[in-house]
Amino acid sequence: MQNWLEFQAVVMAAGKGSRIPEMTATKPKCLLPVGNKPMIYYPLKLLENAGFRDTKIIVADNYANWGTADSLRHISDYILTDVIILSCDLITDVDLHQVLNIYRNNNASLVSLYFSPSQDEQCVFTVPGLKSKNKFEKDIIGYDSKTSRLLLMASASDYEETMPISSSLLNKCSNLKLCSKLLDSHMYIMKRWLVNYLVKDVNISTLKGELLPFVVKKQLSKHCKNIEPNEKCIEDEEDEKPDIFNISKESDIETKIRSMSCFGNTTNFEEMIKCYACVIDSNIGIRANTLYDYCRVNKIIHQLNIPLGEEKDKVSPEAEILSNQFDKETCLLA
Amino acid sequence: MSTNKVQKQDVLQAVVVASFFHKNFWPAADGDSACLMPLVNRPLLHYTLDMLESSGIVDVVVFCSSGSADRIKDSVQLASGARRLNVVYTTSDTCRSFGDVLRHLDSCALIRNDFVLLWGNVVGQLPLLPLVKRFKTLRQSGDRGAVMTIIYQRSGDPNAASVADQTIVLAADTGRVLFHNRARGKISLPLELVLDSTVDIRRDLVDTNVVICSTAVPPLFADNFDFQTKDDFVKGLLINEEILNSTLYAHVVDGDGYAGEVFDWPSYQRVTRDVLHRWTYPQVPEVVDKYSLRYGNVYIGENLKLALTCYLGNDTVVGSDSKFGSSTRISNTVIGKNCTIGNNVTIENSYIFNGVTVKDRSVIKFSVVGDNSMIKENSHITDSCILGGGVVIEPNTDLKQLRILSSDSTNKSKKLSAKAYAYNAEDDSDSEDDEDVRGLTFRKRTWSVNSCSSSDDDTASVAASIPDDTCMFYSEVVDSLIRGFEDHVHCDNLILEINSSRYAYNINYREANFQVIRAMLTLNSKAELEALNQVRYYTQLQSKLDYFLPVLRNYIKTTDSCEDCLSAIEDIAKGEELLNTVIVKVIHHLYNMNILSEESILRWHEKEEDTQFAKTVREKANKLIEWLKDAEEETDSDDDDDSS
Repeated sequence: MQNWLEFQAVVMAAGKGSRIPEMTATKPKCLLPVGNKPMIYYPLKLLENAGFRDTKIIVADNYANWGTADSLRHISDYILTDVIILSCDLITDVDLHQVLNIYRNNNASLVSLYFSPSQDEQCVFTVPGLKSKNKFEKDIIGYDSKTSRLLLMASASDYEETMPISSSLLNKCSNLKLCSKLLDSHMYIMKRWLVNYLVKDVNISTLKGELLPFVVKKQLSKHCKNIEPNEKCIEDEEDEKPDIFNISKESDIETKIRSMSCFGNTTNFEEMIKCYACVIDSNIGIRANTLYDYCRVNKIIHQLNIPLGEEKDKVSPEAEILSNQFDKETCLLA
Repeated sequence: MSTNKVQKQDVLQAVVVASFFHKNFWPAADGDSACLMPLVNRPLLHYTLDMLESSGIVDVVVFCSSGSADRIKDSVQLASGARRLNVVYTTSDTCRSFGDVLRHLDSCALIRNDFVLLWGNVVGQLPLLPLVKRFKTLRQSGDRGAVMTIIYQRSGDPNAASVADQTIVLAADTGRVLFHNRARGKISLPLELVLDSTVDIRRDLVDTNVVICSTAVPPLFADNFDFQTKDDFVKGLLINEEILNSTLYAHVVDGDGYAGEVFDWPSYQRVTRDVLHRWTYPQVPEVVDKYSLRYGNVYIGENLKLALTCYLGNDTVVGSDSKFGSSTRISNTVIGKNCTIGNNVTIENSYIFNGVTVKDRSVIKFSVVGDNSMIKENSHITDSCILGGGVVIEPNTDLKQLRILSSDSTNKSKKLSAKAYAYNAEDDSDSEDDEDVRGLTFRKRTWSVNSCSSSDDDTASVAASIPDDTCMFYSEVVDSLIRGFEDHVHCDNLILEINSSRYAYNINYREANFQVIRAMLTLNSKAELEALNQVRYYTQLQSKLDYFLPVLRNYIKTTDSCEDCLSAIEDIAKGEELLNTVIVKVIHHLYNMNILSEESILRWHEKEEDTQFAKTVREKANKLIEWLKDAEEETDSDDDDDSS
């Protein structure tokens, strides 16, 4: 086993499951059973498979309505290295190393993992509950199709009919891929300085909703000293806004490494903030945060390449099978 | 029935448009026979025909204007590739545009099948047959409405912003064209496009001017008589997709071929370089003609007389039967057949056509010299000079950025000598085309020859650099303002006029702010400017600004618009010396009139700029800034009113 001093892992398990209130009334979301295991088993297993020895799990407490960024800010004193953030409802068999390598190769500030929409959409099934519940929230993700650099994050509800794309974005990237069907895994790898930034900027309360779009957007703006002051708190802003660039200063050793190496793209030389998207096709990845996905994941969990325990565990010895239509391949029984 | 048809139609047709309808290459070649202009000592049209021949096309229809038909026929017969082609010529006198050509084709009923449509200026090597096959299967199985596959080339240089000047949105899975925009700058995509499917926004694509069309294309042109160019067609189809029931697809050539289009001098340079660097193999000089290749992409023809001490640098072509004198240095240059170059001559980055004589001690850099010209002793021809055929340059002449003709046919040219007339672009009020004619790229940035014949001479210099619609909007605003000032039109009416122009040319708010301020600062014509000294200039400008105060109020309201206003002032001051001297006064005046907020001035001042000019302007404004800051401390409460 490796000793992972490079990354620390944080599992966000404080979610209330507000999208499936019927099921989470009595039980925290992270303990909902999926394939006879609590949901949080899967992200922990993923980390364990990748060689992590310890992780931090954030669970719900009495604090009212903390966002993911608030939670991260709360434990920022314990975070010493770059950090991997997972959500407790992430169920996937992706190889974590693949994502980590993207992070390392690009010296990225932030890597976000996306799953391309599953091809087996034909396994349509009826979802218990009301029809109207099964609605997708459309996120629009824009990334460079060659370098997979993440350059645009937006929600479809931000726009009415047209979607403006700024020229600075187009100049930066001549081959931009815009997707609306990618599934955001809510798994992020980020540099330590982003946590520092979070500590400074108390206005950001969620990672996906606020921090990420902000950081992604900041990639495009030039590093200049004063950025438009907001009406709200001019003094605060002036302390803060430059921070994202000041905080992101490289350490001396990195600057030296860069100045001495002849490898690498000179156009990226000046850039402090580099966000990348990791889009994975082959593996199965699901976030069980809606009723639809919860049902789906229960249906296909046996196909996943995740060890669910011994064969004898699949069908518990105490269970009595009376039906003759029980399919041992696809069913799990406690 | 359709399968039957396909079997019958195995013969593939191509239509070559060998008439360019533009004068980009004038005077080195005229519009009618520009496709016979030599590129690496071989007519452009020969490259096109060779490409068709090697990709397995048999039937070729060549469209040419009737004036140049004979010359083109003669030239085609000499082309090696044309021997196996079945060439049919069609001519017309009435065609004035690409759209007219297709309407002509429709009326002639020459098209029986899916066909490849291209201009006679395409150089390259493309596997066309597989593309046509794919297009056919697409039409049979996938999308019956598919009428055209546009072939794009990915520009190799990611920074070649000047090359790729269009934004194209493609569906990621099918390659269908969803959105096309010529203008640079930001775009606004319809949201449904993004939600429906994954799309690629491409800005790295260059037109190859090769398209694969179905038989439905000529009738579409005939039905829509306002389609003049291919861009009109693309735009029209995308807007009226449901009505016309036609869809467009794109194919991006990336690694499986090369195609370059030669439509102006920068592209001529680019394609020449690519031919010399052998991207177009097998269409390279030593394969298609009698050249021998030496190290460093030097191609040497037959029967040369080179002095021992003459030097040939990289990327050079020397046509056969040429003579070079001693101590002559030549690099990055294409020299035609039968040229005579004297002693101590330097030629760099230039294109010398056939039969040219260059006498001793002359220097030619970044220029084009037409057929049978003569350049006498000690002349300097540099920075994108274009010399037509048969020009004689007298000794000790120094030419820069000029177009030289051998005879004065229009009486509008300046006489340099008996056989050299400089074409004066500014006096050319006859030609109504607003397009930029670009010369050779001779520095890092592109220099554009200004042939923009707008109503004011003094505005033309800046107008050439901005896109068409904006340029038109700007000149309309100038007209409105001049008339308004002279006739004392009420400012509300002026605002109405400007707004209607804004809608007419589809200019966004910020662009409009910028252009209105620019127009306001450039109302004086050149002649007036010369008569004015600095003080009088400023008083006049001030009176004008005061007059237009309501207009300014209307446009400059927010901090964003203040920013536009300041950048417009800076932009104009860069080009105009008089304004430059009073720029701080102007800003101060606008501040006093409550147009510019203090905050925006401060921000403008603090913005870091790279150019020398911007720095000096900001230095000049230092005093004003200090004063502003002092005033702020004294009267804090008043500021809120100003900056609202």
